[in-house]
Amino acid sequence: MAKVDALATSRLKPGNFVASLDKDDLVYFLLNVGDADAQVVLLPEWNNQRRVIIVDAGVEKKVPALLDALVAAQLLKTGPAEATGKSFPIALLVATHPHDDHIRGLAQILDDYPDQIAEFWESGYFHTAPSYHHMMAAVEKHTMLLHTQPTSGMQRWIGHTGITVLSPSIHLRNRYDTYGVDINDSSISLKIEHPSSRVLQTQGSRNYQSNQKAATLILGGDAQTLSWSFALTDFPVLQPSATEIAKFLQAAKGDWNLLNAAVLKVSHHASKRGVNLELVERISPSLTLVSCDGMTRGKYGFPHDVAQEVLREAIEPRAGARTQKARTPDSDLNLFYTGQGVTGASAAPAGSIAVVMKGLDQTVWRFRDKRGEKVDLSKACKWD
Amino acid sequence: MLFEQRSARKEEDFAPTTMPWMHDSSDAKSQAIAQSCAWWYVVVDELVGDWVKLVFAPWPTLDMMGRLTFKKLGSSIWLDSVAVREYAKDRRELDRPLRISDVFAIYAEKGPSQIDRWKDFADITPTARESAKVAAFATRGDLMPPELAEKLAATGTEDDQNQMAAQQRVANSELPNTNAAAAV
Repeated sequence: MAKVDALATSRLKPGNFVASLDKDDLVYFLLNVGDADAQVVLLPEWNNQRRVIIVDAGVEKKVPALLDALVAAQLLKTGPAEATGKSFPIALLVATHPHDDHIRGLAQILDDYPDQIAEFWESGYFHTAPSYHHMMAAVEKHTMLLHTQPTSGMQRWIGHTGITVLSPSIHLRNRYDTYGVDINDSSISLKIEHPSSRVLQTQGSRNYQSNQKAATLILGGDAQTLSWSFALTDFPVLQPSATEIAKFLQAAKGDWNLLNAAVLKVSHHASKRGVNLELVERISPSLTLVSCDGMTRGKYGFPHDVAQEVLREAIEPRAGARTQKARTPDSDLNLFYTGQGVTGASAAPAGSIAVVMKGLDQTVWRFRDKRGEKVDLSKACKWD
Repeated sequence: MLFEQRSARKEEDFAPTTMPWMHDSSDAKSQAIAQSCAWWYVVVDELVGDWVKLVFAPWPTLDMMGRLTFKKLGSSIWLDSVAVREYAKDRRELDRPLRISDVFAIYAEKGPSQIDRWKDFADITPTARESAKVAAFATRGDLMPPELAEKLAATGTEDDQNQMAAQQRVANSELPNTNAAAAV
């Protein structure tokens, strides 16, 4: 069994995470919740307000504690929209699929933030687990909640930020019902892009402006091979073409890879069916993140060795090379795991990850929290 | 301002009762299960390789609206999936592979985290899935008032029967991990 590399302590520099943030930064938190998922996207300021997207909460309390920390740091203002005069602070709450390790904490969020959540997305796949019943009862309490079961291709815009649903494909969604679809393949996978605005407004005129320098992030849920096979065809590479119609369709004027993203949250804790080489090559991430136990490897053995090798091969191709070089360490490939250890340190893991995204630039921070601990923003260490 | 997708529920609608959920009110074993605190609600949550992840919780009760209510969200344990299946098969309770979303009632006075603690077992998947389906659909739009259901009954009866039969076929089939009942 291969190991998850420990990060070098010398490269984790304590720093002032909160002070480092600019109001236009998109901040992605991948929390250390073991072999589970809990993610918070802190959106850039828009109309003088930051809002969040929450994607899964696999354990209780950890996401609410982070929201509290963001409020304390004045990065987020919670409270009912009418009371604060602002928009709903939780712009979107996503239950990627109804596995316990993804939805266990969502009922608590729904209960704790009445009238503060604008939208709730779930895959439409129902499950018999207690946490599913609990979550759906909590959803039922919300009257003013836009409840959607999105499928691939759906797009939503929140201020300057765009969200595209990559999966489940509608083809799969319809197959829940007749041929059988693995619960993991019902996962909602998202591509988040900031800014997605394309119209440059100046006084009295407006122009379309392509934006090749947006921050892009793909959150893979637990989607597996079948689901990704649909995503690969639903979101193709548009090849350059000199035809009139291609000229008309701006996107086809050059290589346009609809699945490309700077940051990838790997599906299903890097299980052997969560990734494949073609997919990761298509996404071509500069930063690859895995939510998994990492240190003890739990019962599942996540991340699976074969999935790690796929990720490494996609990032740093070695197969078929004339001369075989030793693999570059994962951390130098910008491949990180929430539960990974730190060299020379105690049992404390590197912990939850925050990625500060400013266009194409990313800065990685770690919070040294264990699975059951709150994220303390003051303990942030910048990966150097 | 968003639009309403469903009418507001009252706070008291969510109040728990002490009434245990009975997966089959006409079945003596179901009544026995509901009356003993040694029965556990056990869900197949994940299947990975040779392992099955079971989520187990104390037996659910109902709230004022008839929703399944769990005092605790439960714990999880990974067990050898073959051993679990063999155990169930030996008791003539399960003659098919394990599927995600299967639900078993397991009698275990010291908790069901080890198979050797299991003293009795029942496959209650069909009715548990029906309850999950109801939980899902109760959030999709509003609830059906009885008068509307009655008005539509004249055209719906035959379809309803076909749908129920289809559901039963799916529940008893060997289809892998399907949400088939969602369609009907």
